[in-house]
This record gives sequence, structure tokens and C-alpha cells, in this order.
Amino acid sequence: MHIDVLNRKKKKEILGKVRSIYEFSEEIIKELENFQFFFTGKEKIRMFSGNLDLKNFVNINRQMNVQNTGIYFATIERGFFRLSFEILTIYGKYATKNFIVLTEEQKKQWLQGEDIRINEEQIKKISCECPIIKTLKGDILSSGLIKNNIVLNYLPKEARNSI
Amino acid sequence: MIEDILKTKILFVERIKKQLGEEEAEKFFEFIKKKTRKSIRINTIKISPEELKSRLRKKEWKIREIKDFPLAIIIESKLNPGELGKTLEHNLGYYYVQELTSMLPAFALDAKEGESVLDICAAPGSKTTQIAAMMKNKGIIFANDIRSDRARVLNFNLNKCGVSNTIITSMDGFQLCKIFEENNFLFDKITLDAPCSGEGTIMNDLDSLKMWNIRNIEKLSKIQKQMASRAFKSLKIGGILIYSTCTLSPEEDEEVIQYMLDNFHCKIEKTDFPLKSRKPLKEWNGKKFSKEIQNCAKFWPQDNESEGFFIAKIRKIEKTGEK
Repeated sequence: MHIDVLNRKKKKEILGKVRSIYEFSEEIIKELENFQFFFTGKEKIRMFSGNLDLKNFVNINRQMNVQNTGIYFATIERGFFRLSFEILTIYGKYATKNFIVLTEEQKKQWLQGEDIRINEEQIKKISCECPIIKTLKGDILSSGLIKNNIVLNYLPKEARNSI
Repeated sequence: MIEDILKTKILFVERIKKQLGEEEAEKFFEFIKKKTRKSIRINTIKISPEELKSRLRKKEWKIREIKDFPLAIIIESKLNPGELGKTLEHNLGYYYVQELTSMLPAFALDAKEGESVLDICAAPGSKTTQIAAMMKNKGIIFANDIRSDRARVLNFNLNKCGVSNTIITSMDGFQLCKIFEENNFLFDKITLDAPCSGEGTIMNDLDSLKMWNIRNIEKLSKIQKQMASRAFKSLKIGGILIYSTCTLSPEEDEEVIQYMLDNFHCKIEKTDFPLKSRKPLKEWNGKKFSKEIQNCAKFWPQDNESEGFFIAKIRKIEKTGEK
């Protein structure tokens, strides 16, 4: 498995994006700073919280058939930054900015995998391309990509049609 | 159906009777006609036990807690087929559908934050996700499965449960342990849920019973001894190997632990489990087992209405390991 570990500067840049877009608390950002981040392709960033230096691990790594390391963290796609569903279900609740709380009707549509139309009240609080999608109960249902007043659905297939 | 298969598995029936006695064996054969109880494990990486229990009660599910085991919940409500796996709580990784007894190897492992853990036969990921939650996503886990299709399922479940301290490999367990040993990369704790004949799962998996034969058990016993030996060598001094199977056959359980005692500097430690267990056998087919083997635990399906399991906690006590 190819692992391109992010250096300190790049990591700071990525976490800076998370902090400025979603205004996570300092405590959460500090927690994330302790972890290692790496690219597995051009766009996908993964996060590893284990206490093993991935750079020094390369020698053993070569001998093993490594399938995956850590957890999918984010995608940088055509300029916009999107946190993964997996990471949002852990840390999304700490976002204090750029989230949309779905109405019950929107929640139904979203869980069916549909894109949703958001109202003026919802859109005026958003200042990024990929806001976090939340239910009234506080469950995080991934993020979405805003195009005009429509939020494109990024809820993974396996989480759709939940009861 | 199960009665018909049992008629053709005379030796299996005899061996169960020999282990349990006529009266208890009757209870075993009565129980295996049923399915085990539905149970889930709370994923504390994502939700607290109190919060999840409250949410399930709001769904009007009847749930039962287990004393001294706050992560486990028995679902007593009659749910629609597949319902347990279709809820939002499941799909967001708040809980993992898991047999009660299958939660016990990780319970015995008692992994702590900062430790290094190797899970040799990890797919589909029930143990790894439980261990990662116990370690609060700190330390390091290597989760391995020899089959790459199963390693993909493992990856899916780890992602879903928010596990971030794990490296997934897909290799032969012997080879993997050898690489670690050669690189002097030794572990605090290792769990080996060995491939087995699955006698403890026959109520949920009739194929285990259909395919049951004594030659297979003898063959598996040899493999299990080799795997346990190899895993043991990858432990640090003072490190712990949890050997477990979901079978009840003494050749795959007590005999494997006897082999470890005969060949390695180790001791078998006792664990106080939150479910009912029975003492292992003192002898089988003329072979007497060491007293220490009584520190292992055997979980019979009829005792907990869950799959049968065997668990041994083996501690490495000297550097060389081998005798």
C-alpha cells in the first residue's frame, strides 16, 4: 500500500481548513494534531491514530500485504474540501459552523439518497461548499455539496434507507 | 432438520454426551434446535452506553442488560427479519450485531490505551472493533485475515465503527507472525480466534454440523497448535495470547492449550467472565490435562443462549518462550 505521509506543514494546512470551515474546538484540533495523515492517491487523505511512526514502518510494510491503514479522513476534489462520512460520524458533532439541521421531511429524502432543496434560512448560515448534514437528534448524516439551493447527497449507499 | 442431521452424526452425539453427561447433553441437544438470542455490542467510539440504551428504548425495543458487562445488550423484542442491521443506529456504527460469547475473547484480552495488539484472524471485525474501542483508538492494532475478500469486509466494518488505530493486512497468519518476529516487532497482546470445526455455532450454521467429521477435527487441531505456537513467539515477555475457538471439541481446545504448556514457558491465567462458563475437561480419551487448564473457560450454548466458545489466556513468562 502506497503511503505518502503528510509533513508538518501540510498537516497544519489541512487541519487549518477543518478549523476554519467547521470551527471545531481547539481541543478537538489538538487531538487531531496528534495523529498522522497521509495521501493514498491524489485526492484522498487518511488518518491514523495508532502510535506507530508510519515513515519508519516502511521496511516492514514492504514485506506485508497491507490492505489499509487508519480511517478515510477527507477528499480534496476539484478545489473543495470534504470530510469523510466515517470521520464525520465521530467528529462532526463538534462542528459549530457550516452545518445544516434537516427538517423531518428533508431527513426522509436524504436517507433515501435524494438530493435536497434547502430554504433561505438554512442557506444563509452556510459559507462553504460541503456543509455537514445533521438531524434534529444530532446524528451526523455525512456532508453534502451545495449547488444553488440544492444539496447533493453524499450519504454512502450502505447508510441509506435506514429505519 | 437438525434432528435428521444428528442421526447421521453418531460420533458427534457420543462425544457431547461424554463431555457433558446424559442429562446436560439432553439440554444441549434441546437448545441447538433453537436460534441463539439476538445481541448487540455498543460501540463506545461513537456513542455512550446510556445514550444508545435510551435511543433503543424510545424505539420501544425491549432490551436486557448484563451485569458487569455494560457494552452488551440482549434484544428481547421480536424484530422483523434483518431489522437489527437496518436501523440508523446500526448504519451509523453506534452498535455492532454480535453474539454474546463472541464478545468475550476481547473482554479477556483487556487491551489498554497505548498497547500493541495483533488480531490474527480478524474478519469480519467484531473483535478488532471491540478492542479498538477499549483502547480508545490509541496504541496500535494489526488486524489480519488470510482471505482478501474477508479483509475487505473487515475494512468496511472498521471504517463504519470509526476505528483509526489499525493496520489491516491480508496474509497467512504464520507468515505474518514470522515477519514480526524477524523484525523484532513484538506485541503486548495477541488474539487468535482460530479456524475451527464450529461445533458451538451449529444452531445458527447447520453447515458446521453437516460437515462435521473427526478427521477434520484432528487436522484442525494440528493447524491450531502451529498457529498458537507461531503467535506466541510474536509476544513480548509478559505478553498475553488469547486463544479462542467457537468449538467444543477437546482436541481443538484443551489439547491445544496442553500443547502450549508442554512446549513453551507460559502460564494459563483465569478470567472472571460476565457470562456463565464451565470448567474445561480434566482428561479426554485417556490424555490427562494439566491443572492449569482449569483456568480456561468453556461456554456451552445452552448456558447463555449464545454460541459455544472456548477461551484461554496464555501469558509468556520467559524470553525464549520455547522449552
